[in-house]
Amino acid sequence: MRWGMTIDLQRCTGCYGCVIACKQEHSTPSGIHFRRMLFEEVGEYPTARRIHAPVQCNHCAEPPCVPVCPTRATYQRDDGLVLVDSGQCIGCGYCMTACPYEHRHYVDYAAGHFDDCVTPHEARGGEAGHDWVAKQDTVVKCTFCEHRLARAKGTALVPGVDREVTPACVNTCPSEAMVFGDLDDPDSHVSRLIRERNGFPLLPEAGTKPSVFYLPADVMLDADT
Amino acid sequence: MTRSTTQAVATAVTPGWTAAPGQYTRWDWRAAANFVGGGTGAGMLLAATLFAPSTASYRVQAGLGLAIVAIGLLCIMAKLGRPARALNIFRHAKGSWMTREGFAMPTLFGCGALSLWQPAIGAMAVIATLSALVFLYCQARILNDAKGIPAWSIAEIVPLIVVTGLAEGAGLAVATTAFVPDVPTAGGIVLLVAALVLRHVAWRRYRAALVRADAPAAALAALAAHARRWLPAGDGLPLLLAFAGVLLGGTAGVVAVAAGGVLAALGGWAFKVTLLTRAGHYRPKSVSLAAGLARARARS
Repeated sequence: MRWGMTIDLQRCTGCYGCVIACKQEHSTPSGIHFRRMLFEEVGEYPTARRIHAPVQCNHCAEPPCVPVCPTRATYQRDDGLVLVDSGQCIGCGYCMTACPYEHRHYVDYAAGHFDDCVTPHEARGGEAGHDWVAKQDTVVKCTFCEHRLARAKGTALVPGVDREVTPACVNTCPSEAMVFGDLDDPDSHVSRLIRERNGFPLLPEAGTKPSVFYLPADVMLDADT
Repeated sequence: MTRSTTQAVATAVTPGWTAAPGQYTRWDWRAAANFVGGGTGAGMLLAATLFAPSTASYRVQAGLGLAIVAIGLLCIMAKLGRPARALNIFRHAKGSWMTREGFAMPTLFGCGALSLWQPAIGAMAVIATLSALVFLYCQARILNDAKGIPAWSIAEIVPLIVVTGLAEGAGLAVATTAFVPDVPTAGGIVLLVAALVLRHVAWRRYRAALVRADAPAAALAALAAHARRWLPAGDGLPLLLAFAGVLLGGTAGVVAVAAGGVLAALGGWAFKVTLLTRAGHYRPKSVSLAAGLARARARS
């Protein structure tokens, strides 16, 4: 089993819903976003335009962040998730240099967003229950909502199908641009989409074999050539 | 809500992000100091063990080399988020060059310290020097494994970092002989000249490979600015001074060689500061539909 995701660039409207859902789920400290919106200028005047895509940790099959970590704080699970054990991390930042996607984040400041209080949501570390104070001065990253996937164990719930056990970003997308599932299963929805829509990963030349695939739009403008 | 809070919230909820390559800034001058320390220290130990003109000179050169490595390590310790957990770096010898760098430290410092009290340059000095060279090689491979940053991860960085360290150390080693006082040995000067020539060759190969690899323009610009300032002063002038020193001989010759050695070291240090703090740009990202389609079509 290898968890993965597709993001349909034809459907995505760039509404930031997934970005905010992730922020809500994980209550990440100020300035840290496990999920961001990437903007790119394509073409030249007068046909230049701006395209966008949500980006996050790609939970690569060959993650360059794992071998470099001197403490083994960063590790890869059998289901493909790349996670950080914050209790082992020394905050050296080496993994951040290894990730070509810039999706590892250093927790400089773990207090809340407001000067005078920590909200109850911040205090409990969002729905994911992160202890951000314990994670201060370490490196953190997207977990593919590992805490939600864990709820599926011993139940008939299926990640990517049942909302309770599906990553928050996928659940919230109003245009259903994202699909989550098992990349190792050739009959899974994500595998079929990648196959049928010629899904492509970000920076394939980096050789990391990402688990997040983008589905190209079926209409291509001249500017994007 | 105060004004500062408003600004903080605005910063926190505007995660728009550009495809242009960002610069890695967590590794600052303290990280650069670790690379400076490892390179200079290894070079000094090598020069001291092979070519120190006397045991007294060996003690000065090797002692200074060990101190420089230690200062570099203290600097990087100050940069760690959780320095109290520093011993955790020994947990991943199988994969991480940072762990392997750590494993070179006990023999480097242990044998290096013992060698300072030996009546002659012997086995302790050799073991310490070999450990220092392993330490330096590990540092080069640390950068080589930083796969997100083209200017660091390109294969040509490994020989460049190694010979830069040797040039720095050989330079400072010959410079110390002016203060012992002593006269640099021919071997010490040859090591300096050879390291400088090799550094220049490695630099040219590195720059050419970076251009071929389409490295981020900002990183290339930072390295070009460094080259404009430091190739003449850090490579050319030290070579001239070394040759002048040999021709002049006497006190003037010692001073000329020492000045060349100091410049060679400064050139290497400037390169590492530039590389770590100004050329650490990530790869540009693209989700261009056309590019993605082209890749997908090429694959199918």
